[in-house]
Parts: sequence; structure tokens; C-alpha cells
Amino acid sequence: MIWLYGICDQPAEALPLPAAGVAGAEPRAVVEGPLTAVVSDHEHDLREPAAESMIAHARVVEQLAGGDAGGVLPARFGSSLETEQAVHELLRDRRERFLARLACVHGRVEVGVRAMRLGAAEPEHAEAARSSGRDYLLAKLRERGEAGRLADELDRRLTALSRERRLLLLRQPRELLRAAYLVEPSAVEAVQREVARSEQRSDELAVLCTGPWPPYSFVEEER
Amino acid sequence: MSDELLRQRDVALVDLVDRLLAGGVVIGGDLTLALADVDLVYVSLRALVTSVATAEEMGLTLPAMSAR
Amino acid sequence: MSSPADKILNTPVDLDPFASKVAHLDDALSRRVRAEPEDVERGLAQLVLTVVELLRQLMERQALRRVESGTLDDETVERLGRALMALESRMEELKEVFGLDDDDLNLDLGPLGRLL
Repeated sequence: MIWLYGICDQPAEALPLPAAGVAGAEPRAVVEGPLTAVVSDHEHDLREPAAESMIAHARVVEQLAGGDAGGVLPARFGSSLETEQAVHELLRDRRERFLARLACVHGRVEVGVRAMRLGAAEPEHAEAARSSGRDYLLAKLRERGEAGRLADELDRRLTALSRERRLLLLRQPRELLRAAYLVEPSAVEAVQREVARSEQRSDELAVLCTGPWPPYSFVEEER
Repeated sequence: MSDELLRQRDVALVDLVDRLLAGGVVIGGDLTLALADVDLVYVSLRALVTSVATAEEMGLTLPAMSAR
Repeated sequence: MSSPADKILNTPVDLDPFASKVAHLDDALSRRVRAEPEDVERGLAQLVLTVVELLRQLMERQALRRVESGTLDDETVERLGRALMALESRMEELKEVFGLDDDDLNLDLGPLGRLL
């Protein structure tokens, strides 16, 4: 089994390969044309607790993203291939797409933002307001309130600072915004400032900002 | 570690796990985890948090991403 | 060297709403690794519903922005609202049928993720 950490477009010699990856195996480079896949070899499927493997996988990806390699397309955790041949095929089949995405993420980092609406009341479930389409929408707007507007404003400002932005699935009723922004490392501080400022403008808004991350959310074109 | 710091770490871990599992390049043949014996690949956040705590105690942590 | 807590660039004024996810994630993670047929079907449902839900959310955002901007006439607002209402009901039904809640969507598209 060949475990995949990520895909780079730098020569293998330039890659900062850590000594150990998942299950202690040594990461190595597989080169196919302009692309390099970073992998490690395993005789069995995962035998150690997956939690430790996750940390190990994340460490390898961080190292690849942070060094002079300039950029990596992180592989989803758990990605594996049967044979060396399959690795080459992957790099051949998706060459143009990978190169395009790598050019986009090169030297940039991902910042994650999650905004939630605070406040005592549970979200107003617009049951009564389902009488008409208009009432439904107005109820939703009221529910989002000022915090919702601030979150939208924050998203606009952060998008302006970003090369790309992905809106991610909201999963909780109080969530106003869940997004990933691809930015220059030098812009991270400005992002932090915008986030802090937004939070200060309302008691009902809480914003979590995390990063810098390798570009996990930017490996595909925006659909 | 203080309570607050622990919660911060958990929240950051959730963000990381979200990225590891829902982000990244998806390739065919990534069934290894699913097809392997279930017991062996059970992922527990509790275990993840423990792993991180252990790693930190041993002086091993995530490499910092360099700001250039 | 950084540890996960170092990844926090802004600590929210209230961490609770974000921390509540931790328990849910535990459950969702434990459901991830299955290969039985019914779970493959469930995985497919997860995939489809995730995409639909994301589109629904995007459309809802757009609709709310337009309504707020005041540039839509009453009839359009009404039509938009009805369409979104119907979509939301449908999503809830589908989630129920497949036993999926919001945390199940998007967390892992499993072996079918490659279809994206």
C-alpha cells in the first residue's frame, strides 16, 4: 500500500521531506514529468490508531507546504494507491489540473473563518412565517440580524484580501459564515485584524479564525 | 495546560480534522481505511487529542508554516 | 514548532458555540469507516445531499442579499421565498430518510468523493 501525502511541482531534491510519516514510514518522492507525489510505503493497511496517523500526515503536509517547495496540494487523509504505476498514472492523468492548482496555491496559505451568532434566543424557527415566501425570507433575515450582516461584510473584506475563497457548508443553525481564504502569508495579519474588528462591532457575533494551513480547501477549481 | 488553552486546542483540532477528512485531493483507491478491519481504524477524537498531548509532551509538534 | 492551539488566529469572544462541535465530530468520525453495502448507499446519499445542501445555502445567501438590497419586486421576492422554502423542506426530508444530520454532510465523502 502506498500512502499519499500530497502533490508538488518542485524537483524531488528541493522537497523538504521529513524523516518519518504515517506509521513511522519514510516519505519519498515519485516524479512524473513536472509533478512529484510524496508518498510512503506500507506492507499493511493502517495498524496504528488513525488519530496518530492523522497527526503524522498533517506534519508531512505542513512541512511540504512550509518549505522552499513553495506549495503542495495536500492529499485527503487516507488516500492510498496500490502500486508505483498507479502513482505515475495519477500524476499523468491529472497533470494539467494539478499544475493549474499548484500555480494558484504556490506560496500561499489557507486561513479558515467561522462566524456564529450569539444571543440568548434560539434561532427563530420560521414556522409561522411559512405562510408566504416573502415572510419566510424576511424571517430568515431577521434571524441573521445585524450579526449576519457583519458576517457578510467580513466575508466581502476577506475575499478582497484573498486570491481565492471557498464557502464551506454551514452545519449549525447559529452559523453565519464558514469559509476558507487563500492568501499571501503577509496578509494573514490583515485578516486577523479584520476578524477582530468585526467581532468588536457586535455583541452577537463570535468569529473563530484559524491558520495558516496548507491549502486543503483549494485543491479543486471552485465549482 | 489551562482549561481555556485545552479548549482552544480542541477547537483547532476540529478545524484540522475537518481539513484532513473533507479537504485535500481525493483519489480513487482511498478505501484503505474503510476496508481495513474496523477496530484498527476507528478514529476517536479523544484519541486524537491524547495523541497531540503526548506528542507535545515529547517535544514533537506540528511544524510551523513559515511566513515568507 | 507549533501546536494546534497556535493555529488559532482569532479566539472568539465566546468559544462555546465552536467547542460544542467536538462531541459531534467524535460521533461522525466513528461512522466514517465502513464498507458495508448499506453504508456505501449512505455514502452516496451523503455525497449528493452535501452538494445539494451547499447549493441551497449559496442560493439562500444570494436571495437574502437581494431581498435586503431592496432591488426585487414583491412578486419576485415571493417566488424566491417559496422556492427556498420548498428546497429546505425537501432537504430535511431527504436527511431524515437517510438518517443524516448536518454534521454528517461534508465531513467525509468517502470512496465516492472521487466523483466530484
